[in-house]
Amino acid sequence: MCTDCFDDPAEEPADEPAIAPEELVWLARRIEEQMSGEPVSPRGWEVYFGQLSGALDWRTLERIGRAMDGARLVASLAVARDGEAGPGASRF
Amino acid sequence: MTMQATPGPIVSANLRPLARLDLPGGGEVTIKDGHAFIGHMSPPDGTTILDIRDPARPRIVAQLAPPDPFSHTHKVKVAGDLMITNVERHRRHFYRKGERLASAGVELMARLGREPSEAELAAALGVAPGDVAELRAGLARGYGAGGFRVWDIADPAHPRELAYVKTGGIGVHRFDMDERFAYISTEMEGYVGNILVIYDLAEPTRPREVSRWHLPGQHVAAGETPVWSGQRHRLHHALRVGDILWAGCWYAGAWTIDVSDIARPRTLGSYNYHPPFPEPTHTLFRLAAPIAGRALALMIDEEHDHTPGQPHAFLWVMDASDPAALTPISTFHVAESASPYAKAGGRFGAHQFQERQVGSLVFASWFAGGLRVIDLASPEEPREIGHFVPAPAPGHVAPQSNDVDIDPRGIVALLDRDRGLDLLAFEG
Repeated sequence: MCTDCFDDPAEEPADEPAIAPEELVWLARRIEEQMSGEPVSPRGWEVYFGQLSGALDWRTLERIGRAMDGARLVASLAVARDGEAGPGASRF
Repeated sequence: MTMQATPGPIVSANLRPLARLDLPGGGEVTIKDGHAFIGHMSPPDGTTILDIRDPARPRIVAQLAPPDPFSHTHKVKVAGDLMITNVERHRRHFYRKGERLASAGVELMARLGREPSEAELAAALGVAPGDVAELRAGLARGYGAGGFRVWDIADPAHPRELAYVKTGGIGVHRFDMDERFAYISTEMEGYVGNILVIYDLAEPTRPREVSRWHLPGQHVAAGETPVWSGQRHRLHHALRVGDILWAGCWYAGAWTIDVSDIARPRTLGSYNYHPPFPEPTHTLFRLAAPIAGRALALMIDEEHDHTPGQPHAFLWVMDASDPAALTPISTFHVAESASPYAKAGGRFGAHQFQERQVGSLVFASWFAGGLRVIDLASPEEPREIGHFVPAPAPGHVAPQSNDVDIDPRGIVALLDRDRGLDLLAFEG
């Protein structure tokens, strides 16, 4: 948490995913595989997640962004479904 | 102050360390005419002015204190013979929690069926139990000193205060200025979060407000309703290039504002990318000269609240051919493996770049990643051509490179928010 600003998480919930980050990434990559058009290269994902330094062109970043949006939506639906199904229900 | 002849960087390429000064941590550094102006993070340290005409032997020529113990003056800009320093509530994040003392107490009492203990109240507010008393004291004291100060720096060794302008709320954060106007990011009565207030400096002893600009929803006193919580959407700061102000607006993204009529700032366009991209917009800056025949703007996010497994804050290259319709061209990212301190603690990721054009080069401060020098000669594929990662300041686990500037000689000043200033020669 940045201690130099006033984005208090208690007052200002960030756009936090409803599932663990690694699950979100896994979901996003599966979604991106199913999207039409040229797929994001493994290098593109590595740059985005800080495993490699370098540039991303806008097409790649936009595609990753859409996949991440989709993953957040799927995660929120799955979490809502889990809430209805009770503990122990399969998430994905 | 102590000074080391050799700063002992851990990583360096195309950059030659000249000096490291053991100065208190800072929020902004700007260089003009052989002098570096530094705004410090915490009182009692305010502003330091360094003579860097011999960058291997910098020397302090002036130090200015904040106006009171509850304000910090961590931002500074100069234009002509004028300098402006901000006045903002120190530890604003902490004291903002004090505003929730009453509601947190009521909520706890309803849940527990009794008066909450200090420890329970502290836990609800996210502070240490010993801090509750200081929160109460801060709430009782309030804060009304926010604003900015204007100085005459014709002789940088003897700054002379010309004016203090009180604004509102927690006061002023970053800003831009020229010799005629100041473009101030500040809280104001009746608004939620920082807005833009433009002041005329024609008479620098009496700055005069000429206009305001805010995001739709900020002006609650006029009946507007924010569609976000707290201060998530607010102006971080706006930089003037030509007749347009290029504004970084935190979780509201990038905005362009026409100021050809300075009395009536007018929104031209905006580009917001939150979500899906998680880190807030810190700076938007139009490059006055085209690169590879293209009109470009630079944008950088601030690593704010990084979640493991999510991207770190990064640099954006934007097509600015139509200021009303900014569109991304590419982005540049730094790997955690590029700094031995990426996971040591503190923040790792982008924060700021020099707010001036240096050909096709970007000098970016990257918190624990230090300084990254990025070439935009091919805007579709920016590439790193140099880097410098300072050693952590004593008592700290990682450098936190916060701000950077470069002068026409290629002398780079890299400021750490915890402690220290590095002077480097760029030999790229």
